[in-house]
Amino acid sequence: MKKIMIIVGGLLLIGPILAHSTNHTHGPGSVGDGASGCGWGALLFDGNDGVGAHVLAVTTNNSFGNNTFGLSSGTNGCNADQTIRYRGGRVYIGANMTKLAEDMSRGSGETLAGLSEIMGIAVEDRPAFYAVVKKHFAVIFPRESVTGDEVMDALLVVMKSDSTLSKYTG
Amino acid sequence: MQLHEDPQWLALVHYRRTVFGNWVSDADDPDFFLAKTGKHDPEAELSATLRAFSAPGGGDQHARCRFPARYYWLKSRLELGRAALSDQHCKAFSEWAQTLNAHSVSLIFPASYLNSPSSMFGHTFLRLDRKNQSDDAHLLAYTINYAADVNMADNELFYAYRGLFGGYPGVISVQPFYEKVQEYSDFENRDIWEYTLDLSPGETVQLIRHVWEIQPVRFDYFFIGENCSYRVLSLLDAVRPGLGLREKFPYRSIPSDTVRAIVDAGLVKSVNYRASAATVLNAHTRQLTMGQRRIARQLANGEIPLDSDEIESLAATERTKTLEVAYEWLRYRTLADKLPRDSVADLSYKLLLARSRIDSPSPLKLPQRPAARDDEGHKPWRADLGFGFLDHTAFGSLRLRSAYHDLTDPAPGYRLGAQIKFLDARFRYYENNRFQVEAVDVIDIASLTPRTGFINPLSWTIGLGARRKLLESSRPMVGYLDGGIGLSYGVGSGMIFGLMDATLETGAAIPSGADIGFGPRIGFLYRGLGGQGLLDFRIDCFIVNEDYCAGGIRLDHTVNLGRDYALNLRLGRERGENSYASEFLLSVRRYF
Repeated sequence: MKKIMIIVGGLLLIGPILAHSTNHTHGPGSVGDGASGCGWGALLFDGNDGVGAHVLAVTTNNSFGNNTFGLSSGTNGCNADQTIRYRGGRVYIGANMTKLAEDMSRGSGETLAGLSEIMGIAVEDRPAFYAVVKKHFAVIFPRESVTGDEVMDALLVVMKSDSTLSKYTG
Repeated sequence: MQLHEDPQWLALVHYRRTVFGNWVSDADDPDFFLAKTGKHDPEAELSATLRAFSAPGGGDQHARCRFPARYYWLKSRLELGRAALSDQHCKAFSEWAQTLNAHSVSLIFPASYLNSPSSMFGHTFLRLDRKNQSDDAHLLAYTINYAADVNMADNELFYAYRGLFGGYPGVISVQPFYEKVQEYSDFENRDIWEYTLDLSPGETVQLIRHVWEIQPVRFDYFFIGENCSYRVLSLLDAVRPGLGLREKFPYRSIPSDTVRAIVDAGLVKSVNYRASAATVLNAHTRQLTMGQRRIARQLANGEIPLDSDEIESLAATERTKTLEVAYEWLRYRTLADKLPRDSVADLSYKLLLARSRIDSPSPLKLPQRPAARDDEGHKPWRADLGFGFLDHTAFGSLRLRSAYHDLTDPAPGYRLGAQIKFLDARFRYYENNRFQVEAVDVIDIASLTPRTGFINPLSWTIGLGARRKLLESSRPMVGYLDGGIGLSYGVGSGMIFGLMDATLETGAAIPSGADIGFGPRIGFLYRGLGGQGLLDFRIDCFIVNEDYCAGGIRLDHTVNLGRDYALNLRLGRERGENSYASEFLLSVRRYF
């Protein structure tokens, strides 16, 4: 009995330490490293294949690689002959799929506002943009494994058929 | 004053004085210096820099393009209209600066997150805001982040060792803000404070120039001293003369401290609060009725289908709320419990699809901004001066703590139930002329997080140090290692917790050299009566030598007197091995 109690006691002592080390064994994962390039962005509802819920967080902080200019240089966008603006949009969508889907389903939110900024949608047209993406959520996100490029393409189609927003797709 | 002693020059090359009074630069990379002795010699570095600037040639490799901040500063100081230092085109740099397109700067402070020891104190980095940046564009702005380039393969011990004693290089990375928000808000559940700084466009450009200079340069990273916050301070020093921020933190820079210094320097124009995913989920959950919470949970667990009567019968707004919380909770669990994608993607998608079909704006309100910011709480150093009685012997008491916050310290700016203490030493002088060290806690952490039904973390504690132990006829000093795991639940504005504790004690006074004890601990953490307090009951049954149980009950109440003073009352009754002792202690606390 005494032996068992000693073992239990020992386990309790090191429990918190172990609980931590498990958090630290994961790499920075697929989100944010921007390394996967073309076709990237089927991240919707990403589970955790190593996504760092408190990975080695952060006064020390892993630096998530040198993913310096994903946004504007569009190096992660796939289709080189898209206009610059949409290449930026594609990268942004790829990197923000889950949050963007949430915002679009509600017709509001900061990530969606960021997309309207990237797409150059005028402030007065934003309510219309938010309403349209909410209404056509099922078209823009036709299934759970959609890619960022598919989302962008569907979004452009939806916008084209809207009288207020079609001007942004030209 | 000689030019090489100008604080701006010293800041640009990151010089500081050693304890022996010599100069040394924090940069640990020979490529950062133009003089061979540059790391230790500001004067030689300045001459070499001037020589390199006036050297013929051009292009991105030229010193003028490699060190644009030094160049800009020297030019302004030397009133150089001279041809030798005429501007020249630096293609790589100007493209980079154009992409960043910075007009002003915000300091971003993701608050501490207790469950991860490396983020206990929080983190700081900079965001580059554009001219007339709308609120909609915050996420698109770039950030400048300084962090240790940690080798993911390192185990915990290596990680702690290298972090404390060096070995990790610190690197600067530039990333869009949305990636940082995902990292901190969504994955780590840390609230974020955003401070818009009062840097002029000119100073902002100089900051960009300087970041360009140090971006490829290695600085050794130390968790306590030369960390993220230290580097942020040195960047600000380099762009605005006379701040002298870095020299205020020669040994350690805790993010909340450095933010205080930046606020005190008058650099902050406005502050914005960004609640983490967990904070949002908690706030949203509170806006649901009990019935709706149950439905949301069942939905997210896949226990009821989305077209079930329970959901269909709800009014549109109520259905919206329920679906939104169900999704947020599933999302939280996905990240917190590391659920595999296959098990959540389909349900997540269906929840959003159902939500999008309801023609109603989100009725859920965002969480309120906390009354006190993380930089508005008490300071981390603490000194207690007090008097008390141990049984019937009076004593005077002095207690000194290096950092950071304990459960009974003033709550504003800190999270209830979160405790981190480093180097906490207690000394007593008894009336019979006995001076005694009462205890030295090296480290003492408690992470007590209430379970809500949606968010269900374990609570835990760990402590290491030396303390007096009540035996039959003496109170000898023993070394200890404590740990505990259990559950906490919110009660009003406080919480109750129950833990299973284990303790390892060692010392000459213990017959076999060491003993292990374990037993329950129950506590009530509350706010009120002018401050906050803790009622704590614990039993430890020791099992190696003779079987006996020790323990005690204590009340620890603090009355807050302004931000940096408090009054603490401690009442305790302790049982040792066949003995009892009562304790009374009243002390004044000063935070600094």
